[in-house]
Amino acid sequence: MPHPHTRLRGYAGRGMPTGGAAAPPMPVTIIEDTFTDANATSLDAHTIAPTNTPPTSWTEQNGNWEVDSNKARVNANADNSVATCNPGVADCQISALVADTNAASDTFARSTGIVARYSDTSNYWAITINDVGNKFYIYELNAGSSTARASAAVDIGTGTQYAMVATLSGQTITATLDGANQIQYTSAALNETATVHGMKTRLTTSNIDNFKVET
Amino acid sequence: MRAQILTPWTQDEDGGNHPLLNEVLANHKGWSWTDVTGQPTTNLTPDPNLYVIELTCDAETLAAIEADRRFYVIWSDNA
Repeated sequence: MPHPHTRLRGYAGRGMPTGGAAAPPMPVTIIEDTFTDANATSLDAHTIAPTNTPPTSWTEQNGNWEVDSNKARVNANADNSVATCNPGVADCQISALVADTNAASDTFARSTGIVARYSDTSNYWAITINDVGNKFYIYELNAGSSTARASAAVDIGTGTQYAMVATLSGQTITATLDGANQIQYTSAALNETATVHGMKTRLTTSNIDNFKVET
Repeated sequence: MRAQILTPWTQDEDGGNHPLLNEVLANHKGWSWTDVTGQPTTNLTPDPNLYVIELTCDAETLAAIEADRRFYVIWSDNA
């Protein structure tokens, strides 16, 4: 119990801060991959750079992934192509430049974007865009069954790169596209502590660049 | 406008679960929604095949939903 005349540190009068709010901590980049490599380099053989601490590497969980024009893509069309790495954190911010091209239909299997909290090919979260449906989604894939948990109408330009950001905090997943179009799901119990994240696409003409994981 | 809406689930051509409300929303722009039921995917059941989404949209979109008897608007406000 402080003395009645003791002014609590950092506060004056009726509980108002005097020194201004503390600056939020600077984000720490764990993974940043600009996919700078020779064309046709398999993602399995590509080294994550310029930031890779602690070191991890890409695993092609589904589909054949490669570097093309310093971007990641698949070299053959395949639904639900997924590549992952393990930054070792479940709560984090994942961002990437994402371009979807000719998805053919507005379904989970044919969408492009970020994969979060991956455990296997049947269980993970995906934040995606779809250039047919013109939608931005948070999807849950649970025991192989996909469910749209949040969505926004966005005119998705075919082949246009969008800055996608997904923030994972406990059971809340928040996502934005080009700094706007925010969508959120607050009951994300699936794989809440999974630390494997990555990316997802279907077509060779779609691509992902500047993949980054920050805490 | 902001509203909570009762909508059935439906499945897309690949078997993915979507709100049936998407059929109405496809004709409108500027909306976003989130599933506020939070029902686990493994528990999605056909009976009752209903859940609640919270939708942000314009007045025209909400009017179209209110006119469609497949959906029930629980509440709405001008936020």
